[in-house]
Amino acid sequence: MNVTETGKEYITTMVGDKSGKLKVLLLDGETTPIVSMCTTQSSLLQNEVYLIDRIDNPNREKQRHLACIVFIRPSNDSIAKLCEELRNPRYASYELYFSNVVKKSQLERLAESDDYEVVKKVQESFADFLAVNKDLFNFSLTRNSLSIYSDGGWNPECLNRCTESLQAVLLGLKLRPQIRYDANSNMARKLAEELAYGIKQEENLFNFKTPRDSAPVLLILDRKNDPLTPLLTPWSYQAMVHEFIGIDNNRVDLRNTPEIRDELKEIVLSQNDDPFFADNMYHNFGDLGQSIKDYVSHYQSKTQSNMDIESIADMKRFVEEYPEFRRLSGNVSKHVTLVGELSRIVEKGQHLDVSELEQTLVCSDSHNDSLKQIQQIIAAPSISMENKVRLVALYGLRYEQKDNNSLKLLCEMLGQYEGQDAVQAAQAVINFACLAQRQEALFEEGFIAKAKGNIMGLKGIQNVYTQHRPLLEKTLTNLVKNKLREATHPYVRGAGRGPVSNNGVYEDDVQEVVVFIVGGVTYEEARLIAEINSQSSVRIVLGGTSIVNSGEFIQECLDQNHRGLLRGADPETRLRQLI
Amino acid sequence: MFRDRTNLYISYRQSFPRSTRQLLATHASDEEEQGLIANSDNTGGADEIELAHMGNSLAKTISDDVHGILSEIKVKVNRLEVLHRKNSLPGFDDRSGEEKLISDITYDITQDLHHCQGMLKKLDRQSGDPVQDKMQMNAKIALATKIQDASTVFRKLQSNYLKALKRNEGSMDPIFQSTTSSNTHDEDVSLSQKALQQSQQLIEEDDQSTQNHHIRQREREIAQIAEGIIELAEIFKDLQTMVIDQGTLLDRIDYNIENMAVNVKQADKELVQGAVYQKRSNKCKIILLLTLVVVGLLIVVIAKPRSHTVYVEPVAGKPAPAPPANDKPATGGDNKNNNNDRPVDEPEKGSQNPQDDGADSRPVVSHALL
Repeated sequence: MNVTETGKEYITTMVGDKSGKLKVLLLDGETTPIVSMCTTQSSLLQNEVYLIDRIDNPNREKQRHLACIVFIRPSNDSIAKLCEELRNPRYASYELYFSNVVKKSQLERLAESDDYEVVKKVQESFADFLAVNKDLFNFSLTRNSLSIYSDGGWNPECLNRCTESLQAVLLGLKLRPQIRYDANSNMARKLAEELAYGIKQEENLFNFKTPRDSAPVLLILDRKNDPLTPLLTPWSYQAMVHEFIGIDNNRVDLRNTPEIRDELKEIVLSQNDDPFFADNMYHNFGDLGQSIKDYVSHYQSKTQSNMDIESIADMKRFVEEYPEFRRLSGNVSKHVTLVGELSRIVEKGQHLDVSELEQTLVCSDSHNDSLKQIQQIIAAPSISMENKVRLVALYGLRYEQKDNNSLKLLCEMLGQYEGQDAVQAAQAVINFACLAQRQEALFEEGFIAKAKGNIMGLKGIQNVYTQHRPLLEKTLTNLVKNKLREATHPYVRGAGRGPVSNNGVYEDDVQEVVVFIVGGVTYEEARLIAEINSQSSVRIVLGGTSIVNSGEFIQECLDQNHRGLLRGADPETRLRQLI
Repeated sequence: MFRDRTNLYISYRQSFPRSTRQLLATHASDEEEQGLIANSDNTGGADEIELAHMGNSLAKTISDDVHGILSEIKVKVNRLEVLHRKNSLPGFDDRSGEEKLISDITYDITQDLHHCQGMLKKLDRQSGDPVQDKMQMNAKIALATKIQDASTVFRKLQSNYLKALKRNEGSMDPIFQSTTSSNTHDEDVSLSQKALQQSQQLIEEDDQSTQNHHIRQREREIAQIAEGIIELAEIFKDLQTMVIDQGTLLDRIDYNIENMAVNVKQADKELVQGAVYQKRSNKCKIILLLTLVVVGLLIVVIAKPRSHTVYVEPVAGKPAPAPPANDKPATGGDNKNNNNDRPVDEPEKGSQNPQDDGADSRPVVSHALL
């Protein structure tokens, strides 16, 4: 259950042919990031792939002595490009690999174009997902400012893409799971049903011989059931980088950092070939500071040993050590720059104060204090609009049921300080995930919560900034213990196989789980999954339509609001509907 | 999990009547040309393709050669390892033959590595075509990485042997006990350096105390290996500049593709710019030619009447008034007043007595200037 490895294996089988022929790899827009995220240029070079190009690049030259490996997603566009290529072949021979199930009609079209019979091999390699970490994947569906929502449901194009890609993930991991979904979400249900149908269509493919103790489970969740995780400020390394700077397919753009050196304007953050990042990606900001300090002092000791050059012998030793030293120094300066930038942003935006308030809002019940603090923050000019919007949205979600809540007051105040756009954004979030939309209690209300809060207060809280635990934790704990109720997470019938007990539920504990979140997954949840994986025998892989931070989440809420639910209603009426 | 679709594809391919190919075949009048059709539809760019092919076959041949040498090295290294293991065991029999063999093989491998490195340099040649260059560049990086791996294996082997030899000497010194640092690179080179210095010292001491020949030879051998290691370190350093570090942006496939697209665009722009320059230089040449022609014609035009007046002069006796009269229309047409005057003077010089002329022509010029 390692998505990065799965992807890497697919690529290795594609390029691993040891005939000694020089090879060219042709990719399309979809497969370029897929390949980029699970392998590197140098490992491709080791396999004599000396040229990598896009199939939609019309300026490629004829190079008859190269063997061509094509890896594309079988979309109509890419297939058309490939047909063109086969009609006028530029290379000696072709091996075609598709990242998903290729339709027979598409194969026919290709066969028809292959006048010179240059194609030697056709294969489906199901690497149709972006492997971010070893247990996190996504489909990056919101990339081209595409919204997955349309008229309050799925954008059909995205639903299609999601079904196919999720099917590829299951094939890649060799799972034929039972599918469960959030009962209250139409989108989750739709995806689950489509997927079950798809699996039935490709019965032969899903006929795995590997014996299992228990049936794997695919859990399809909807983001609207847990709006808190993306709204709260995260404090683990990877999540922070995404929240404050933004990670795009494991690349981080640092161009806006003041006084940045040229070679650090864009950096790669990947678990695969950055040992420091792999060790620290889930550490919180405080621990990270300690780690980076140790890392720098390690580097310093190396530098010192490299510095005292007294004789020719020392010089030669330095030269010899240089490559490793250079790699280390590159990595150290990368992380020092990144952490420095993070702390700069945190300080400048007063994120620590905001985060503390967020956590109090979510995890304890102190309406009046919180309200006062929110009002103070809204009035503070140094705090960014996003933070204010998030606080108002959190307040709205938290005290939705309180009889005389002050959401209206806060909204008016927000509008006064930050303009109507901010109010609209906050409302969009509340609309998207208000109580009527959710199916589970996110907040512990009333007496029990207070009691719990008191106990917590007595025990002392470990870290005020990371009190909140994502809802996913509870869901997964229940799922693994077979306690997840069918009322909230029903099965799709007919997709599973093997012995099913009377009530249609496997008796054994669940061992393998794929969680898929419609509407985007957060790095904070990825951290949770990694934690569960390392602490128990359950193997979980997490995925989502995209990876969201708070900004993107709010944007998605706005998108969804625009495209359905309350279309036509102006902000004022929406506000009134809400309150 | 994957699914092979080759058979299905081939069956589809066979089911299609190859209409286009037959079409092309009928187009070609001679049946024997059928095999050349693939080439015949791009006769226009044939030269370019030939050129491109040459550039790439360079990458291909070098890649093949380097692979060949590397596999040889691998065999040799394996043989050397066996010999090393045998020779590092303590024993009493004469081993000079084996030792000779070891040093020969060591020398061979070092030479091979040198050779590989030399071949890589050939890939530096720029063809001017960005795609081509990219390809050669990639080939270079890939080969450099491979050579480096091979040299690391060899280096480790040698330093281990060196250590074993030293241990056998019995003269263990603190240096070797202290070199337990985790860094093997560090260890290798410092070790060999020390060994080199030490053996030199020993050799000197030997001369003084005239110790037995055997020890001296042994020491020399060690010195040789140590030298070999240092030499290798240099190769290593050279290669390092070519290898890209894992995990950096340069190692990202998408980044490289984006970059290549940008490069190609830039090259395209430069080509267009170049064409413009070329055109401009052509234009310049034509303009220059035309100016020359104009100047030439002017000379002819001016010279002709002058030569005419030269004939008239002896009759008229006064040459002075004539030239200004003829000169004026010419100067009116051309700005280069002074330039025109000089050729005007020359015919006079040639035809007339220089002493007379010196006195005579001065007023003419001044007149013309007035």
